Amino acid sequence: MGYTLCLFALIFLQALVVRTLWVVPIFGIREGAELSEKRGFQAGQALRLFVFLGSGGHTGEMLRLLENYRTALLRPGTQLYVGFSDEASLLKFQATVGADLPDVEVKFLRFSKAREVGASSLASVRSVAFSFAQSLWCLTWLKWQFVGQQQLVLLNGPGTCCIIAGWLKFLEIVTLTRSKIVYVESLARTDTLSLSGKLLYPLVDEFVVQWSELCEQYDRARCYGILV
Amino acid sequence: MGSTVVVTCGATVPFPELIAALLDKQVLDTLLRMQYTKLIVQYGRGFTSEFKQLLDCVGARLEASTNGKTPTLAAGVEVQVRAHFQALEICGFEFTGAIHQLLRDEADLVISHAGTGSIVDALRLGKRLLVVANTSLMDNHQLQIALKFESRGHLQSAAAQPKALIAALREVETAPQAPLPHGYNSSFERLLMDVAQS
Repeated sequence: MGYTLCLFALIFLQALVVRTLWVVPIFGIREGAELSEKRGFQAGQALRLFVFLGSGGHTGEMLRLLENYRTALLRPGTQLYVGFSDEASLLKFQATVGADLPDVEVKFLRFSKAREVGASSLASVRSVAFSFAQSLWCLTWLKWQFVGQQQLVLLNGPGTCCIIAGWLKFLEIVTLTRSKIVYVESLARTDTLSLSGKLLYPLVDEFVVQWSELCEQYDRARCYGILV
Repeated sequence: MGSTVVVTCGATVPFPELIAALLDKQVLDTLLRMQYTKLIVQYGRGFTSEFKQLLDCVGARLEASTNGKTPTLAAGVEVQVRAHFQALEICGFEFTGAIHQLLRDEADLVISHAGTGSIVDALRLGKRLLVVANTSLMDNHQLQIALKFESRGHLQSAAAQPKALIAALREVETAPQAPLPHGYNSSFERLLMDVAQS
């Protein structure tokens, strides 16, 4: 009995490792396999888009991204899920991009803040733990909304994005469904990645930087110039 | 008609060093010599009394608000402090959500902190731009940002000191300024769609 259980556990663990290797892009396994897949334009299917607004500069950049790529990201029929952690960001969204969204359904998801800029490391650990727990339910619900849909998660630098990307990728591994994440590093990062960027670099589907100098340092990073 | 300088310190925190360097007699004299007649300053929340003090120090003539009526600038921005330094009209206020419209409609030259939002805003509007990095802030990389944009010829950067400001003001008048391309990039758009449809 104990032996059989051990065997099952081992097989399960092996499957998990294989699945993780498959999902996490840095291992580069899926990329080759995907080329052979059919990639027709799913015009009939509406896009479900999740963006996260952090605070101050991060929020500003994300709103500029949405504005600049409005025709692709905010087409009529799109369902937009806006994650936020402070009121100012929410107000800024509503005053800018959110003020003019014909036929786009907008839903808001509140997250608690992962880390105050300049907070001590102990305070950071505590708030990260709390934020993580609070965010799990939100993200699991979000994942449920996105299963089987044409979907995209667009993130930039704030700390909460690590939790978001980490959990969505974890769910991708264990539920065998896709979580598609594009990360755009902040324009403020000219020569080094942010902490969030460093953590998410191996994990997200596409990693985009806005200064060519950064692109040269990181193989996976793509650069299209200033996007915000 | 004379030209207008708009100074912006950003939304998050005040930037006393920039305001202090700007409200220096020699800097204001330089602006006058360069035919500027109006100086609009967004000086940051909770900085009104310091702003008035600095104006007083430099010998600017503060104007009392007439019957509680506040003059307004473009985009309905309300002036909180108004003063004259010789022929230079100085208008100050704490903060506005309409900074974009204000820059667009009023500014011939923009002097700004080196936040990415302010820089991109001013450059996309095609304004001449001088930035001063707020180096007292932790974790926000303003100096690197300023130098990076400057190295690509988009703007002039200066330290928060009167002498540096005067030198940079002369430079920004004469040196050509590279325009900043629009943020739309069709390859990036295709990448977004490819990921969504993968």
